[in-house]
This record gives sequence, C-alpha cells and structure tokens, in this order.
Amino acid sequence: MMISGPKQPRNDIDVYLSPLIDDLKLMWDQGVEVFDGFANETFKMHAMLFCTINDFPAYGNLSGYSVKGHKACPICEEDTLLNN
Amino acid sequence: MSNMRRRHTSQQLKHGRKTIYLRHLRFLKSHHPYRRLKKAFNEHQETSSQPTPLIGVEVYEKANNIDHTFGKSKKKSYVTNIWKKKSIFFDLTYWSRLEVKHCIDVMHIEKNVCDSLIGTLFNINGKTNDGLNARLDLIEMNIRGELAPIEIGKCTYLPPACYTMSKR
Repeated sequence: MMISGPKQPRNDIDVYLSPLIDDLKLMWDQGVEVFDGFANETFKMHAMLFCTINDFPAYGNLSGYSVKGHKACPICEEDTLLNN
Repeated sequence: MSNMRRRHTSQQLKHGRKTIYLRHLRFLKSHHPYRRLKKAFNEHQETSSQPTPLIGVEVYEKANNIDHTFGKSKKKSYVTNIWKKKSIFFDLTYWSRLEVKHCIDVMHIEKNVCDSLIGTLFNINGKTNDGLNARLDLIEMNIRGELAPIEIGKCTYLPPACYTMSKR
C-alpha cells in the first residue's frame, strides 16, 4: 500500500489500515472460497493476523502506545517513573 | 531522597542530553549474582523483580474508552494518557487474546548496537560513545570515580576504561 504525502500518517495509520482489517475480519468470520489447482477443488480459506513485525517507532503507531519520553518502555509502563 | 531516586528507571542526562532507561538488572533472575554487585553497576542492590507485561485483555480495557478522532485537531486534549488511541487491530475479535502482538524488527537495532559497541571498544574517533559528556554524567550519578576526567593545563584527559584497547 502506498500512502502519499510528505509526512507519514503517524497515529492516523488506522484509517489506512481499515480496508485490511475489513478483509481480515471477513477471512476470520466467514472465510473465502479459494481454488486449489493441484487437487482441482475449492476450499474455504480462513486467515488471521498473527503478529506484526515493525521497528520501534512504528510499534507506537500501531499499538497506540507512546514510545518516546519518560514512560517509553511498553513493559515497565507506569512503573517507568520519571525523575524530577 | 536517594531512596526515591533509586526507584526511577528513566532519567534525563545532564551532559549527554538524552533520556536513558536504567535498572535493567531487575530483568535478571531473582538470585542472579549480578544483582548484588554494587560497585560494578550503580552502587545499589537490585531487589525488585521483573515487571509483568500487560496481557492483551488488560491492554484492551485500558485502550477501550479512549476518545480519539483521527486527523488534525485544532484543540489539543489536555488529558495526558500514555495510550494514544484504541488500535484498529482491536476490531479483530481475536486480537485481544493474542499473547504477542507486535514484534520488533531487529535489523536496525542490531546494526546500531554493533556500531556503537565496536566504536566504543576500539575507541574510534567520532564513533565512540565514551566521550567527555559520558564521563561527566558518571560524576553526576556518583559512580565510577576512577573514570572522572582529569584536567591537565588546557587538555582534559580521559582515563582509559577497563575495556579500552590500546593503540598497539
């Protein structure tokens, strides 16, 4: 997928992902008829999104968690106390 | 105060001007010998245990009632929340049940870590992370007094650290 513009969509990436999510929902709930050329028959294919592979800034965009500043660690989260 | 300060995991370096994240020792096993080495690390014993990562359902509960509109907004919300939005992936019915949702691509991390490791070990000019500011921050944190920079006349001399290799 190509996203045009001089800047990346950052947190608004969800808007661009929504068609993908719609397809994934369909594949999970109903499944899609797919033709198998080897066995010469059609079968119902189901699919799910197992995990995403991304770098750390994109991790923030996809999960909605802030990856900058004082509480940047997604594991420590609230315990990542700041030092004033 | 020192007890309070010890609890903090992130802090801003005064000279290096970076946010750093400390206390990695707590990810070790509870009786690991490194936890008791005060001198080698930050002069404190690490007693706390590893934080438990949130499971998917907990994340869903946290992110569920965030009111977020996409696009540019004129009004800035004053509610400070570490979670910025409810991710669209939660529309998938199984998403909150998954254990590992996002994996981090290690390619760039490996490259950067190796670069700075090699730069620091071989003391490459401009590549090393063991400069004057790093030593000044060590004084600020009150650890490793033997590495403090020594001023001789106009020059500042950085004592070699235990890992520094000589030119030969």
